[in-house]
Amino acid sequence: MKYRFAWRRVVNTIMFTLAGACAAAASAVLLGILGYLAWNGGKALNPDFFLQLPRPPGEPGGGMANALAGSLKILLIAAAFGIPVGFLGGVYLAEFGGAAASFVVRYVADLLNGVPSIVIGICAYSILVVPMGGFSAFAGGAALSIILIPLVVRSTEEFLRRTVEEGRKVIEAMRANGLAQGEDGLEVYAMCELPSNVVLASEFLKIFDGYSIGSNDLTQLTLGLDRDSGTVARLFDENNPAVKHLIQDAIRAAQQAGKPIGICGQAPSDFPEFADWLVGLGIDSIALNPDTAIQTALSIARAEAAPARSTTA
Amino acid sequence: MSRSSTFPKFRPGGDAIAHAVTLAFALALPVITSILVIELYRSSAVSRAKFGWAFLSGMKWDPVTGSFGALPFVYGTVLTAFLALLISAPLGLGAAIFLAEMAPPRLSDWLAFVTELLAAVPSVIYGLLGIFLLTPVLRDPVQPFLQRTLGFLPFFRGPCYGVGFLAAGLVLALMVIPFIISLSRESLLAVPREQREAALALGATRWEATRQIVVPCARAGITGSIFLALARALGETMAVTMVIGNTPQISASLYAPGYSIAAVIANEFMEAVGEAHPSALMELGLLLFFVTVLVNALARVLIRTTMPGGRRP
Repeated sequence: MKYRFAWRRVVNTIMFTLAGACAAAASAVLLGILGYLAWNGGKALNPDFFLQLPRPPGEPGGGMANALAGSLKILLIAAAFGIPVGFLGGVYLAEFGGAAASFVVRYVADLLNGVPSIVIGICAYSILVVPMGGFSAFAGGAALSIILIPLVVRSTEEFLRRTVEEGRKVIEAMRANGLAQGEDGLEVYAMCELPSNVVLASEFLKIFDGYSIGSNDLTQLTLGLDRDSGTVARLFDENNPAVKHLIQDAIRAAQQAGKPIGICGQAPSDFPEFADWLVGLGIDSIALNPDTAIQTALSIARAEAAPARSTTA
Repeated sequence: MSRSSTFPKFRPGGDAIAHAVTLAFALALPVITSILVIELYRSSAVSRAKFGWAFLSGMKWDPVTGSFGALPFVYGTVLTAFLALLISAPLGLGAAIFLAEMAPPRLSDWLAFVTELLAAVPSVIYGLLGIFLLTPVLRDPVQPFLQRTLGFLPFFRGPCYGVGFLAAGLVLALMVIPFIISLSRESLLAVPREQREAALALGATRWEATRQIVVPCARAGITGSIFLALARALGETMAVTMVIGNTPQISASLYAPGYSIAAVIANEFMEAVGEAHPSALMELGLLLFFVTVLVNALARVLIRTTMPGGRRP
């Protein structure tokens, strides 16, 4: 037993030493390349390099002004084509994309991203250069923009999704550990207990399968007070119009998204009329404290039997 | 000023317009890709009609007699990409494990930054480094040394030119290693701390926690990074062209000069005359395109099956 543990520690040391050696080797080579470029390239850098045209071979001096200007021109043309197209395409994926269309666009973007530039080059040659009768900055820029577009599309999409990124991360982390949303009927609900969950409800509900309103925290965070603090706890009130306004908005948003919404918090247990009000809004489920379950359930049954009434907060 | 006059008037249908406009731009991607495929297919018509499927297995590439076969190029492309992965995948993964699990965060972040910087270095620069730094060292002392020690293997026989399959594989390995390190490190870091802590609390050594818990959790990201590297290695043009030796032949020896699909297109496309030659080059482009599509699809399938929906590559 003792030897076995010692062996495991030896393996541990060996493997991490190997990993360290890999890191050292890789970074030594990579840093070497960077250093070599900086050192040898730096020596050749002077104002002439940027401003002068190349001299004939053998003559000293001269610069790369023509090549730099050409690169810049092509880059600008590529950006003028590629960035608007890529940006709007990315907006589509992040904001409007239906499942099928998004899948196709995303798949093609990744595909195009992997297509070697030489393949794009020969296509641009036979589509643009041949019919136009010669090489041009326009053809070069257009070819470059084809390389640019998929990158811009995917980065725009990622960027626009930042607001609810945490939600996505949760879903991904669960998947990474074997709990895949939608697999074997697994539904992932989120607590709706931050005002931001209400404000961006339609966004969050694109990610999650449903909401559960945490009325306690939602009240605290909406009214900006801590119910455990003796100084302000008496101001804690779920019936505050601001809180009820948010709850109503959340329920509406869920109904619009066609996703179920429930509530788990103290309010319906404490105030039967609060439960009635939620029922009137069409909430899907209410969690109750054991001591008030029967009493509130009866009250809810009465409310559900009554014809739907006005639901203003 | 009243609120209604400060804000633009709400126009119903604005969303629908935005939807339609962004969709049009998103669809630019599938349209561009189809144009690429159609153009490659159309332009390679002569070659396809003349050589048929024998194009793929043809060993001869002779513009003078107009007989074209792709096998030496396919061989060179696949062999150099395979060599590159053989070197860069273990090295990159080891480095990523060290950076994510062992290195102090500051060092890890700094090295990751440098690595990403190197991923942005244009390939022609890697090619130059290959010619000026790598091939002289390979010619003497590396290749003669390998020949003395491992010469009984068919891979290390023949004259030591420096340029050839080995040089191309090494340059490609250098070029793709930044991708593998930075993406693998990121997905290793995304594994929650608690997973590691739980494994350590159960008595695992750091290495056991890494190998049995962290790496499997990050498998999708790691696989994705390797496939990205493969796609880049298959399509890399300039750097390979500069060091592979540009000789269409199939040889078991890694010392022998060879050719790759991308390199032959780059070298011959501008000078190709007649009907069959440009058309054969176009068919090579089509072939390269389909290889990329295949690698991309394979990567997706692999990520999907080894792991229920991990990170997108």
